[in-house]
Amino acid sequence: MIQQQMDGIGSGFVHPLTGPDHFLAMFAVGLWGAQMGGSQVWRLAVAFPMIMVVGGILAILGLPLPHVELGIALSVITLGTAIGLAWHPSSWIALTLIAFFAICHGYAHGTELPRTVTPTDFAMGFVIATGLIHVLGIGVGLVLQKTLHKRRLIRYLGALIALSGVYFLIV
Amino acid sequence: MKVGEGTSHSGFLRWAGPVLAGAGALIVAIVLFSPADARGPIGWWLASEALSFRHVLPLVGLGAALALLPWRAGLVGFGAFAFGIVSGGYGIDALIAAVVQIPGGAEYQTLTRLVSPLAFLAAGVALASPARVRPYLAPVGALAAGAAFASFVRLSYPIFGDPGVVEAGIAFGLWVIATSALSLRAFRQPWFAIAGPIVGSWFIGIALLDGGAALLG
Repeated sequence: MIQQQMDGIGSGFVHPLTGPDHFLAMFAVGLWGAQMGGSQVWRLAVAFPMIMVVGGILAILGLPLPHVELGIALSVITLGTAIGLAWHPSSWIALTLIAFFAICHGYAHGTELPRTVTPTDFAMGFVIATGLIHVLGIGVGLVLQKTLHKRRLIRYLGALIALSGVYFLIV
Repeated sequence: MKVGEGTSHSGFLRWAGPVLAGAGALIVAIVLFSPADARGPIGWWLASEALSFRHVLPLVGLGAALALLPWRAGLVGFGAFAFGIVSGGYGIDALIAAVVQIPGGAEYQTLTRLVSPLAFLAAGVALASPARVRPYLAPVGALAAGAAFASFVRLSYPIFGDPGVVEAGIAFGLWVIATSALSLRAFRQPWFAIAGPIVGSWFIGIALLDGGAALLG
């Protein structure tokens, strides 16, 4: 029983980690929040998993969501560009943007859910992994924000993420 | 009253959680490492049903939410959980009686699948709610999580056929909540206030996805 659970949680946990596009987008959500500062540090990371569920449920229902992979690649480009430009939009614009991308990522994870033996464990694994990548992004962002020089570093990191998104789009 | 304020109880309360955790973990370890034929129904229930992430994690999360509350509100939350776990044990009979009237067995399966998402949702709402609302929402979440845990105990009980499983289940649920709430309260850090809503949102995500898969999948 415990072994079966570990397998379910493990396969869910590695799902966001093994896809570099998923990983970079989640990391960028945390990084962007940290760069914006204030309540945005945690607000984006709180909103993302809850909105991701909508995409997951669309996938469970079998409803088509065209160009999901394009949406995921665009999420990496957009979030990386936002960090690169140090864009600090109002809260609702940031949340709307995050919501759109969260649905794409949730859909991609959700397509795997009904196929698994233990959906609870799979859902637990991938939601926790997603959240931990956000926390990693927040942590790196908060550390890099501490000095003026490192504030530039965070923008370079954003540009690198955006370039990776372009790569995902082309390949 | 804040933890660590100069009362004669503060030292005791600071270590009550870890002591409770250690004592309970010792009992669980003895049960798990005892020979299979010596475990008995309660031991088997503990090893194969209760000690699962899907049932323990929401309780730990709820305990964390109670740890973020002022003392009095935390106690109200704990009381609500205790009331939920005891009353849920009785209420589930009426629910099962209603469900078995429905033709086919799929509905009963759905009921068993919804117990864990309900517990995750209750704990998630308690954790993710803003600090000023949490004292009101956490007891409601605790009541729901208690009822969900009692339902899980009762739904798994027929497999083991021992009424002692119900009492053990109630004790186990109360132990997990009390241990996590007291331990986290004793070593509370300012960043818990930010971590709470983040982890709460994970729980809500898990609940909605898993509940959605149970209802729609």
